[in-house]
Amino acid sequence: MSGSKTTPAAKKENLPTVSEQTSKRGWRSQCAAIVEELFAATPKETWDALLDLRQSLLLSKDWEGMIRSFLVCRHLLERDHYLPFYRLRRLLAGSLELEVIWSDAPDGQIQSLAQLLRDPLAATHTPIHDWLAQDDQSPVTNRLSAPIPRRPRRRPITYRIIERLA
Amino acid sequence: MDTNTLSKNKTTSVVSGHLQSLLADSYALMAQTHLAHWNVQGPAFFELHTAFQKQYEELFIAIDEIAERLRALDVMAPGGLATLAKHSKIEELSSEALPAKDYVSHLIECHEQTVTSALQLRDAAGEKHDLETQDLAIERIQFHEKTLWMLRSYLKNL
Repeated sequence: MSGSKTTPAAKKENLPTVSEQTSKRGWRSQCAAIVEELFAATPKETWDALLDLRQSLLLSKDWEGMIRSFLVCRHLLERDHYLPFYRLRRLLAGSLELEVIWSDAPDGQIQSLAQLLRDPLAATHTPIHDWLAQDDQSPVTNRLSAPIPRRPRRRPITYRIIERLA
Repeated sequence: MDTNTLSKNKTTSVVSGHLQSLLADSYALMAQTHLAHWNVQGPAFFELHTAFQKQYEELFIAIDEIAERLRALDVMAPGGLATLAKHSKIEELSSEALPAKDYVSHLIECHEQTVTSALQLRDAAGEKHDLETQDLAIERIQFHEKTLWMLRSYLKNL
């Protein structure tokens, strides 16, 4: 069920739909508004990180820097403020995505950012490249702990974060 | 004394439009709550599984009341998954495994959307002096606001 439709009722009453509100404000200002609400509920020591994130959300085209700022704030504050970070994750994953070139696939593949954004192990100091590679680095064993033959390791060659097309 | 029933009154079309929106959002919310009931995992499983069941059972009864109010206004009730999905503004959750906190957060957003629909119905019904529909809308707002309070409180303890 999408938010991209105008209901008959909304048409009749000239009420803005959710998608109209989103397109009017844009995902960047929606995210910034969520961050702004956090200032009143968080300790002063975290405000520098929140200011960096807000600035990045409003103005930056350095998407990886924006994601890193988000991960820093999430690491500091998510435990006590889960809902705002859920909303931020949803907006970011709906607006940005990963284009990855894997070692076994020459063409770039589009991958959602949702998993990275919600992964509690996505450390702020770990390059996204390493995070992408980690899935194939975990040991694989069967119930008797005998190694299972596996296909050649799939490695990310390069990646970039791009804005989703509307 | 005016004996015209609301069903004969053209002004009810605005109210019935909002009733249809509330019906569609409530149906979508019920489906999303059912999905969360099935797929939630983790240490809070039993509490959330049970709480979600209570919520979708309440929504099932409410949906019937909303649809029957439409019929009382002499308007056909929309039905069927595709039709209701088209009318709803609630976004669907994927079927992948998610943390329990994400199910709760998603349902919070669904309830917020449904409250918005119920508020629009309440105000439209009030303007048209349709107090019975307004009463129904107020009852729905009370349920969703109470559920929002519970879900938000629960999120703090997860």
